[in-house]
Amino acid sequence: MTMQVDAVGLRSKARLGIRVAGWLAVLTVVEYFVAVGLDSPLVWLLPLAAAKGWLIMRYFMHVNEVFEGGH
Amino acid sequence: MRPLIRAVVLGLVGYVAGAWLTVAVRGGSPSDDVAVVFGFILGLIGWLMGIGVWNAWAREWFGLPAKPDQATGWKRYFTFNTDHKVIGIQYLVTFIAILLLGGAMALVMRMELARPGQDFLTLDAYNKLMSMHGILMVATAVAGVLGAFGNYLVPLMIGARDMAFPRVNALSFWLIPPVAIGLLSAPLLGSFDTGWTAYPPLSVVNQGGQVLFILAVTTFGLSSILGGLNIVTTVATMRAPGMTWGRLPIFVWGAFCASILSLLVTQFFAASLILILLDRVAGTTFFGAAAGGDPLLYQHMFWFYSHPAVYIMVLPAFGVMLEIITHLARKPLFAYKAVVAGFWGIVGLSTIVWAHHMFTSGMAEQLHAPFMALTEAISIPTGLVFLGALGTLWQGKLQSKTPLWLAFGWLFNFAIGGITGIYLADVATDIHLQDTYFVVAHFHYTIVGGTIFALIAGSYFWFPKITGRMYNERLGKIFAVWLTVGFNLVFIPLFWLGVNGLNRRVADYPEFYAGPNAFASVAAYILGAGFLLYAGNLLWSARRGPAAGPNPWNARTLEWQLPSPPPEHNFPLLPEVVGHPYDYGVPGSVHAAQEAAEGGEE
Amino acid sequence: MALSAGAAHERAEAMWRPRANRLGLWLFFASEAFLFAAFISARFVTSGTDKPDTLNQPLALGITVVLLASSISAYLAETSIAHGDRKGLIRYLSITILLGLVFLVGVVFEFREAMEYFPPGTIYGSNFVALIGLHGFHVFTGIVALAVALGLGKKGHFEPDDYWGVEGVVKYWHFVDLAWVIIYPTLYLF
Repeated sequence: MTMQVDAVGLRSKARLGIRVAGWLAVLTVVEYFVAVGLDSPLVWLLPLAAAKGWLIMRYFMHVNEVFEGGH
Repeated sequence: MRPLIRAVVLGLVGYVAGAWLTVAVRGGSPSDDVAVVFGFILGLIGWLMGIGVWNAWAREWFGLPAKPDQATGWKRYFTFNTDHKVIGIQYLVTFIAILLLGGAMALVMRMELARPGQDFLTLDAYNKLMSMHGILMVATAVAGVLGAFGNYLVPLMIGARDMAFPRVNALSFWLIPPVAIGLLSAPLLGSFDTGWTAYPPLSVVNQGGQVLFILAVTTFGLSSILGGLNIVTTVATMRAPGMTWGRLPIFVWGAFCASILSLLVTQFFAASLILILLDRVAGTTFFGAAAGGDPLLYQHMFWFYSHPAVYIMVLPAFGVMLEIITHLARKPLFAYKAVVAGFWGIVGLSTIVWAHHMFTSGMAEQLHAPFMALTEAISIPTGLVFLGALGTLWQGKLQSKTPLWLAFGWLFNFAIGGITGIYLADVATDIHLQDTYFVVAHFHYTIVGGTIFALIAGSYFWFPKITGRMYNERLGKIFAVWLTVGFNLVFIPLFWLGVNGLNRRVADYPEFYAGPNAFASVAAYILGAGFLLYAGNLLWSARRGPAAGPNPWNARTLEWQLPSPPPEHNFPLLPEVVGHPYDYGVPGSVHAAQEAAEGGEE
Repeated sequence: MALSAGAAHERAEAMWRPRANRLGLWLFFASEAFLFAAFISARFVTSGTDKPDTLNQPLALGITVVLLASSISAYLAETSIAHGDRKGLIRYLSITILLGLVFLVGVVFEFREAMEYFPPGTIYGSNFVALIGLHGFHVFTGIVALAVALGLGKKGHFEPDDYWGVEGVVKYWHFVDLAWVIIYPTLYLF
């Protein structure tokens, strides 16, 4: 059985994923230095973790599809 | 029966393998806590694979075709069958059996309590028996109504051909027998004496039976979570054309709301028990105050589940009772929207009231007032449910049938349960009443009076649909009166005992409390004897009762438009819903389009 | 009626089945979130934001990056099969499993080291054991699920319009990553 590879669509989607991952990496590094550098980092870490969580849920897990029908 | 035998054999092999492997690796005895943990886990996997998870499901993970069990007739009930109606009946029969077993244990306890002094149970044996009675009955209340009627009725009522995940559904049921086996074999390891609440520090240091309790109850939690997930998904995605949210039968709303709670909060019970297990087997110190742990942490986590749990028990029961009342009063359900709003109000509030169980625990003082106020606020949505029930009965054309008689008993009992709850929610009175028989009487009025009455009333009301035959109406009514009167005779004296200071969970008491205790014990035996009538009536009628026809109550909801019992996959053609389900007496009203009814009779 | 009953039911199921699968999986995640929330709240209730100075910060940052990288490869695996690239599916699933195993090895190494500095008999140690154990269990089950999807993919299962198996497993793997996004600051950073 052969499948038709949609190379153009694949490449654009892949680029989006890598861009999101880049943001996640930046946020993680920021998180690390905030934690090491500040005395009570709690206030800063919560929004950072929330932002990372949102990126993963929105772009990797496609949470919006739950509220739409079909594919 | 082959799958069942396979399951038992593989379960035993798994248990023995797990326990002995643990011993081989770390030494010690096979009755050590760690060995029991690994034994139980492997045993559970063996049991599930044996009963049919492997054949009907796991084979696909390796690219092999699934081989679902093809059994028909009565043999279906002993296999990994995915028909929601089969699963509903499996739940119903299993939990009525557990109800009767737990009731028999209560009778033994009442025998000990009939007179002051230690008569034939040691204090220790009494505590263990009381704990076993507690957890079996809690399980019955949590999964009885929701598992039996939720599975059987939800797809029928919304016009679906099955649940969204039929194999997950079968898995939810087949997780139950290992739970029962685990709990009932706990006496082999010294049983558990903590009550069903399993508070540390006792539950960290007592005998190994506690480990079986933890493992069994966590497994039960998994079953509840998967069952709840299935019902929520089914209702959200599989409603028949025209079955809008505003037209859902009220039982579906009750099951849906209870399922949301069960899906989410059950994890906190699992988590609190896992932390106890870690304290026992991994050397952690969550609840050891000496090393910085906090025993109150357990109570917070436990009640974060176990208070909403009473609404997991009672929301589907509300649904059952309102169905019965509206069909048998021949009137539209009064204040339908307010009742649904009440259900949602209960779901929301139930998760922020847990610490009213802890007023005497030594938790922070400033938590007392908010938890008291929030708890008492729950009477508002509950009041809306009562409003719906009473408004529907008002000037209805009441059909004098057993389920409606039981509904009147339910109204009376649950009203008493609710009103006595206010004294326990109020900090000032609770400090006096905490851990007395007043609490025992209160929660039996809500859970037996509210949920078990619904389980019994529902088992009469849908009996003709499930079996195709009619129960004996005269015996049914005698039992309805017997149950209501007997129940009240047992538990009213306990309020007096509690107000006068008799502690719960003790086998012995001073002479002062002798009279009401003797009375309650005699009444308990009368109540218990009544269940012979119940079981006898239903068992005999299931085989010999007169044919009931598709719709003996002349009811409007979709399950009554199908033959009794409904065929596999329910609806040959999907019904088209065009109106509200309860518009009795409204001229020209229709619930479902005619094709559905005709399709049903093919 | 133009359609036979059976065909009509199949068409109806094609409508609700993808929605039901996704909703069911997300409800499962919501339920799991409560389990993680219970363990995380136990950490804050019993030991506030205290943490020992002996935590291995560089190693923790390292395994965090590894798990993040495995999320990208999982994403690429799903994107590949959605666009008909079976080779890509197999390649990226294998990379994801490999990165997952590297993460697990890192965790085990970190765990052994940690148990010497703060044994489970201390309260931070208790929370460390519980949270790392809970998350590690999820990583382990995620790897098993990825391996099952890989095996099926190699046998020629999954098509661009029928890859729920891959989608579900990959979503679960992202959820495991998401849980770590919260657990990492909970244990190491606060």
